[in-house]
Amino acid sequence: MSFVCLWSPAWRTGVDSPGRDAPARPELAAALLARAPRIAIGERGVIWADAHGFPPTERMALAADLLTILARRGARDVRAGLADTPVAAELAAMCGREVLTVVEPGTDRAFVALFPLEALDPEPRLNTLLFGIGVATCGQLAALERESVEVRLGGDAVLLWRLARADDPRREGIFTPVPPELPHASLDWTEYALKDPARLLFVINALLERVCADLLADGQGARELTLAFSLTDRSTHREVLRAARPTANRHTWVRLVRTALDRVRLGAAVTGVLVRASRVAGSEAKQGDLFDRGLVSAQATEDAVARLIEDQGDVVVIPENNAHPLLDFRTTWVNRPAAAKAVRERPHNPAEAERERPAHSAEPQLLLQLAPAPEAIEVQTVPRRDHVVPVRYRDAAGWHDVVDAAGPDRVSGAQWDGDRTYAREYFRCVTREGALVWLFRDARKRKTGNWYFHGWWD
Amino acid sequence: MAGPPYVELRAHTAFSFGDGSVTPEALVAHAAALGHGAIGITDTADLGGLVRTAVAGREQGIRVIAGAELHVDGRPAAFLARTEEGYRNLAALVTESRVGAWTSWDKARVGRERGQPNVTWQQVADHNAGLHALTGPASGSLATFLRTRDPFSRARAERQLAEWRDVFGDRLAVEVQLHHVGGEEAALAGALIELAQRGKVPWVVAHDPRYIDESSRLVHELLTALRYGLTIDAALHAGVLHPNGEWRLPTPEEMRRRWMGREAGLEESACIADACRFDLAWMRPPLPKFDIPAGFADDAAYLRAQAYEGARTRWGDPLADDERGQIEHELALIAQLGFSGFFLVMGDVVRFARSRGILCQGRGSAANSTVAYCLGITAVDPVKNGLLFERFLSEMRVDGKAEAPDIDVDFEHDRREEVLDYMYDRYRRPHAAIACIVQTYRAPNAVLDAMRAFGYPVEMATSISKRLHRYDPQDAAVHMQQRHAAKAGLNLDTPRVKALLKAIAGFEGLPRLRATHVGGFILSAAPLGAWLPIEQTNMGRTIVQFDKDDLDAIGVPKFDMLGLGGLALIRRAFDAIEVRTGKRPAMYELPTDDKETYALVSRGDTVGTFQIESRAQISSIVHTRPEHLYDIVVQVALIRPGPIQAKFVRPYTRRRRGQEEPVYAHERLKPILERTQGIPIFQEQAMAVAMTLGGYTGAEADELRRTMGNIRKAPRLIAALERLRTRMIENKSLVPRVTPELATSMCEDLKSFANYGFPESHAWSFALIAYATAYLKVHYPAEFFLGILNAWPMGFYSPATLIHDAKRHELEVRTPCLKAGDWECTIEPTADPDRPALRVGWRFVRGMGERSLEKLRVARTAGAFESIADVVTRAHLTRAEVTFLSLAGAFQAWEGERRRATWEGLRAASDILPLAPARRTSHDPPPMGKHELIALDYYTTGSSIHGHPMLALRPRLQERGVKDSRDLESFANRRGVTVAGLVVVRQRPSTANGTIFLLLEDEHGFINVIVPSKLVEPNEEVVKHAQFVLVRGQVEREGAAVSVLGREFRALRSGALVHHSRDFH
Repeated sequence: MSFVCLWSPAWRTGVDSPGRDAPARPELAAALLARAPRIAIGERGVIWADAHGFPPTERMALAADLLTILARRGARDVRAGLADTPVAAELAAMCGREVLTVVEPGTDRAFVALFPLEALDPEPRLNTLLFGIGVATCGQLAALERESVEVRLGGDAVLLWRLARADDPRREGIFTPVPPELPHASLDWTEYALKDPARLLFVINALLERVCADLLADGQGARELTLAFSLTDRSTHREVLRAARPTANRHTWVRLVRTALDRVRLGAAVTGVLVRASRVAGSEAKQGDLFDRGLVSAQATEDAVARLIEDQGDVVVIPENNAHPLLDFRTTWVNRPAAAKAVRERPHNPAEAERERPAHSAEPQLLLQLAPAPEAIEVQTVPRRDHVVPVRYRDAAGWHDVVDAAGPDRVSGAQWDGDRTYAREYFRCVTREGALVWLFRDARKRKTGNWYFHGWWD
Repeated sequence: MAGPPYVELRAHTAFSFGDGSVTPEALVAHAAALGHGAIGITDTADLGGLVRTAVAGREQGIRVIAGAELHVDGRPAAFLARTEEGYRNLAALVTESRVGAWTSWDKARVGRERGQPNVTWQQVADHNAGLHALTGPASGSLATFLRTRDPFSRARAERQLAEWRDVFGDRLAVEVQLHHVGGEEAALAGALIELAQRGKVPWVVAHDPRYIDESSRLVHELLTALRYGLTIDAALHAGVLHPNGEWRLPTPEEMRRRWMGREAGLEESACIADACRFDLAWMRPPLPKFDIPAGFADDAAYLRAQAYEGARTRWGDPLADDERGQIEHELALIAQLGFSGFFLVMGDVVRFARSRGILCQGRGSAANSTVAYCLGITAVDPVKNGLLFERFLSEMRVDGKAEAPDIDVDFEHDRREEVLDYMYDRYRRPHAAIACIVQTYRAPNAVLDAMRAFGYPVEMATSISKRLHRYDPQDAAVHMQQRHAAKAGLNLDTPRVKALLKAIAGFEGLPRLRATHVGGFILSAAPLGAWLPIEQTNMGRTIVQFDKDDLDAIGVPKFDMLGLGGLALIRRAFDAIEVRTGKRPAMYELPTDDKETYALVSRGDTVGTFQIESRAQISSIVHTRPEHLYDIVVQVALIRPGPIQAKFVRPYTRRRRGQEEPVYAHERLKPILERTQGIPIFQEQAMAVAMTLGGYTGAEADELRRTMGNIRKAPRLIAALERLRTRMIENKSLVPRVTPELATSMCEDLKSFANYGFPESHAWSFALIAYATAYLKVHYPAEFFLGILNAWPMGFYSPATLIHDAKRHELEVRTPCLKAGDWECTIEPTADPDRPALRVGWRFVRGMGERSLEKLRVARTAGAFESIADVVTRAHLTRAEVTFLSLAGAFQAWEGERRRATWEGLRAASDILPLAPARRTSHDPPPMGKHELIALDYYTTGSSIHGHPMLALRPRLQERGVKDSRDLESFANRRGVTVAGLVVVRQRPSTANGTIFLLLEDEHGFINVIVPSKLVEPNEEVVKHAQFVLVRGQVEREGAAVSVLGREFRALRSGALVHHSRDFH
């Protein structure tokens, strides 16, 4: 009885909030972790708790306590299963009649055998084949020979067969962290083979561009890079390169590759190249700026980040930029893996994207500094063509004359999003004092008092 | 405020598919309301909205300028037609952008070459005559050069402008737009104006609108998001949406204020508009020339020879005076209107089809033509049956040209492609294309697309959309708000859901995609793409960008070659009869006085027959009890919305049975209405009434008929009927005169059935097929059911219902078999040589597609299959194919137990290593009961020969006193009853005011259930979606027709059954 499975039919994707998964909330995980040594989120929305090492009498208490924690935090209709194997615990939680169903040690297979195969959620193709041979329950599947299953139903069916026998391969994996996939890129060609180092370097350069871009997107630098060459004699030659410090600079890596290619002697012509960042580290210099300008030391930053991670868990975030028409919404700070994914999901057709993208504000030579929040100001205007332009504005410091104003730059949208709907007319204004300021009128408001100071250039 | 004139030259409609969200009519109406006097339409590589815009413009008093936005070497620019030649070049460029080089197509190539429409600069230069060019928006090539921060970019822009100027001369303007999106745009506008002035080219203001208001802006944003495959939130963050709402149609005054001080661009827009002309007549391609043999002066002479040759074949020599007279009358009119070639083309295609053994028959008003009859196009003798030629062709004219005749010919539906290929080859591919269908958004697509763009789960969107399938988007939004949204868990108070509903309503009337029309072929004497832009389809066909209504508005004749399942059924049945008996029946030589056939029809045993198989037809036919072919002609036309709405069915039936005498409101009506018991049922009769009582000419009567036939023109219909009423009253030649009361009453009758009346000739054509199918069902049931199953999908019923009906006719039906059967259903001998058995074909087994067929066909070419392993290994069947075939019983010749057959088949499918053969092991699944077997049959083939699924429920139902279809026969009218059955058909005819008709099937037959409209909503889930339904109600008996008027409805719980009712809403 080493696995506690917690499940509620309500833990599904919310209809009004797509993608919001109830058990994945960090505060909930923290509360559960206060009682159980290890917690994991599984498929179909289940929560796993590790009961290994608990005396048999305390395992039930652990499961009961976890149910109580969940109930206190508003989780409804949660059920728990306690068993030696994940599959039995899962079925006990999902199909058991009690709030807590305990599968006695040594009886997992007999317990699982009673369930119809649908309880194991086989993929539709496999389900059809099993229906075809008249196998309807886990017990019937478990009774078949492994060879017969493998031959007739394919390799995938063997996994289901093992589950039906309560031989669950997940026993080893549920609580083992999955290492993130490291950036890599490869190219294979079949029509010809390369011998010329210059052409090989050309190919590797292209692959490095992608690997380095991925590293940058993840806020990482590679400590170590592996080059794997597929050769015409079907062998593979690997070459490990190391940089003096973690870097995602392509030029640095190209220089190292060129040096390596001068040295390496390959036994045959090359038919494919794989470039993989085999060891990576965070981009220290950039993170250093984040905390203190006076401590532009990688070591100091690394220490700070380590302390934060230790205290708060995985709080490493990176900025994610987008093309939202409102500058306020163009940058969000997101968890590192999510950010990497988001970067890949951008539109693929640059020409079309360019067509759609507005010719927005002229790219300034000065740096735009945004106010922490738009600041309400009083503005005097005069009409010009089909709009009005500001000629004076008053902020906390008093009145400022506007000697020149460019605009309006109109942005409006998100009309489906309630509070986030916007409609603004921006003006780039030069004040008599020589300041270049960014003012806008909230076009949703009809009355006065709808002007704001949003930033300045310096 | 008065100021310089402004014409918007660059408007987009929803025919920019995905980049415009307003219908042509709405755009024009909005433009008129804003005070525009003219508007230019430049949809992206598309002229499909042009006809509708032009017609709407005519109605609103707005001049329409024809144009298109085209990608020239990947960058957009716009071209406007100034002259007829310019329009021709515009159409040619749109065609070239869609299909590339279009003078040397072949079918296979066309299918491969779809993609982003694009033309090269050289193509533009070749087609510049008569066009006015605008250099394009900010993403156009000129603007792109100016936006590029490159020291040479300005020089490149100047060079390109010079190139354009060399080609277009003074028919060129630099396009400048200002949407207030930022400094860069304003700077670009300034740079473009400066470039134009330096290059001595005029510049013009354009606003490039895509929508007209906030609602259509929201729809445009959804369409944009969908085009990029993003949700609307992601699209906003990705910057692919317009940054503001300025891409709407502005008022002229707004533009004058915006461009104050730089009015030259506005003035240029008006100058360009003045220089551009457009006329719908420019779109009419030249009629094809038929290659006539030597010795004939022209088309008309050759048609005359062909008609007389056909006439002698039809009627023998010499011809009677009335026959000769009718031919001469028709030939003269056909020659006068210039349609001789049109008839020759249709005669030729019918000859081709017959030479290939493809059954075909003209339908519709063409059957009123004696010439068409003589050419073999139609099968009904208009002289003998007194059909009115003017219903087919009259002298009325559209825009000064003869109105195109309408010849519809049906071909076997699965061999129509051969006919189309012949037409493409015969008249050359660039000269031919098919009319398109513009599919507009209906509620399900609108709900699915809008919810997808808003990021809602697909399952939720699907669940809501399938409950709204009969609504238009606007009605759907209302229904969602009132019912479905809350049920699905959507919070109506949130802005997001409000916006969702608004967006769904905003899809109303927008075109969604283009598909191929089922009939209309268009031929031209010259490459067609220069008149009507052409696109290609995935099947390798080519379609024009206009639908049937557009082509009618232009006056383009169509060669309607339609597919008809009924003909496919008959041909297949004839083939099978010939194989079995050695004699091949001929469709038009079947005895038309066969008593057994009429007996079958009269008792309503018409499941599977053509046209008279629906429940409404059966309910009527058991009362009218046809005894002659003409009774079936009337029957075909009687159960149609027109006569039903006019309440003609009951009086006709009573008079037909002699229960009341026909009444003629005027004695001159008797010869017209006598054959339909004094009731006007056919369109020809309405025309004859107008001619006889109103003194109309044939052409005037046909014009009246056309007005009656167009549902969109209700005001015109009312006006036309008022004119008829007046003419009837004022017709002094009539004795006695028509009284105002009588005239009013007659016009009311005509109004009721106006929209849906059938031509008599059309009813004749269909009746011939209906009779043939009924004859086959009586005398050759095995071949009849073989024909319909092999021609399926067609008709009203599913294969399961047809197979149950076959079994009720004591036909032995056998399971699919890989030893004895074939891909399609086959006939097998039994002990009784006159009653062969029907073997269900492999194609009815779930999961079997064309690839599976090919594998099995190739494998069996080498010899008959000998075992399960032999089939599996020789045909290289996949595990899924093996499973479905064995579960369907197709291996029964070798292993009777289906799951053991699967076990062995799966072993063989994996036995691919000769040196390590897969072990044969035994497998003993628990035995299957009969009900399980029936469910398995439904799962694998959609039907069962082992019994009806209701058998499993019957013991439980009997205990509760639920009656079956057989019991119902003996129940008295109005008696209370509880029945149950599998729902096989659901109907909600538009004429029934919301009432739903369910057809339940059980092991003995059918039960008609009426769901009154007020009970539909409270029982929606059951009556619209349940498989098995229990109904408590009362018997409604009228003669032989029995129904149950339901009061309570419940879904019956049963095991999972794979079955879908056939729903007609």
